[in-house]
Amino acid sequence: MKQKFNLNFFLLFAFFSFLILLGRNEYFIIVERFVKLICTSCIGI
Amino acid sequence: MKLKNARKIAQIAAFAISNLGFLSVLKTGFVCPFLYCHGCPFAVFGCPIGVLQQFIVNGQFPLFTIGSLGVYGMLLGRAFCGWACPFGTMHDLLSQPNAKRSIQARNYWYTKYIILFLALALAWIALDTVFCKFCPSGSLFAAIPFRLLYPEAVEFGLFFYIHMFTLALTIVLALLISRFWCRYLCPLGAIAGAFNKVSIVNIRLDEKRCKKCFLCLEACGMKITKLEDIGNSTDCILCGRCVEACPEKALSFQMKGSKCKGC
Repeated sequence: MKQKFNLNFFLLFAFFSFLILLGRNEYFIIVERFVKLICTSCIGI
Repeated sequence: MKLKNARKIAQIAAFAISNLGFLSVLKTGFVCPFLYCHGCPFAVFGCPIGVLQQFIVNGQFPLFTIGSLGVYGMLLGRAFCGWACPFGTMHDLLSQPNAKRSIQARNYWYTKYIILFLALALAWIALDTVFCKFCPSGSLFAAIPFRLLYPEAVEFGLFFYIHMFTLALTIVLALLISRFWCRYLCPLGAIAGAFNKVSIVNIRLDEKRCKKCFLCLEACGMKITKLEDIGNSTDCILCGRCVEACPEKALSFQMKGSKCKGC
């Protein structure tokens, strides 16, 4: 099986990885404000 | 191992991993690649649609979530819908694609993009997570477990009843239409589906082997209607039912960019 290098794929993947890196602080916002604190109004309670 | 069994194991594993958050330290700030409400008391990950709305409400640009969804999509496309999503698993349990009672509804593939647009636009206009208040996945995996866990500490609100209604409606429609939610309404499926054409893992058709019997399309839970759409359409969830159904072994999971001798 041969592998063909795809530059467009690589650039797009790098772009999304870069976005994750840029927004790495959001990880803590998500865990502290959303996952640990349940939005009870969202589920109607 | 048969693909069907592998898929079942993957779906059970995904559900189990999503619910490891019974200890606070096990909760993470990653967004999951499928629709699973972080309102669930045991949630480990954030729901991507919920997080996108929350960031819009807060006036922030969700770089981390968009990047994560992009990476998930580029690696596996919509395979998470077919192999991991607990709400998709519920649909699999409720309706088999070949069941006689299943209605072969026409393919309005674009409706899930309308739902995605509405979810984000309403969050921006109303400054609230409007979609979450109607989401049937949130009903099943958050509202009901929360109510069962804390029966005395909480009261029913209007949106709890709305949640129960949307869940009941989705279940009825899922009984009639195979993968109803995934085909027509899932906003996360809309995002993931857009990556099917560029994802690493995909399903490839060997046209030399194909006898055009269309057993693959009959087996398809998402009711894809064209051979060329397998693996490429925004509806394909890469579940592999078509791969299993093909008597000529013309369909197979492949890494994109690879060339096999038989193709």
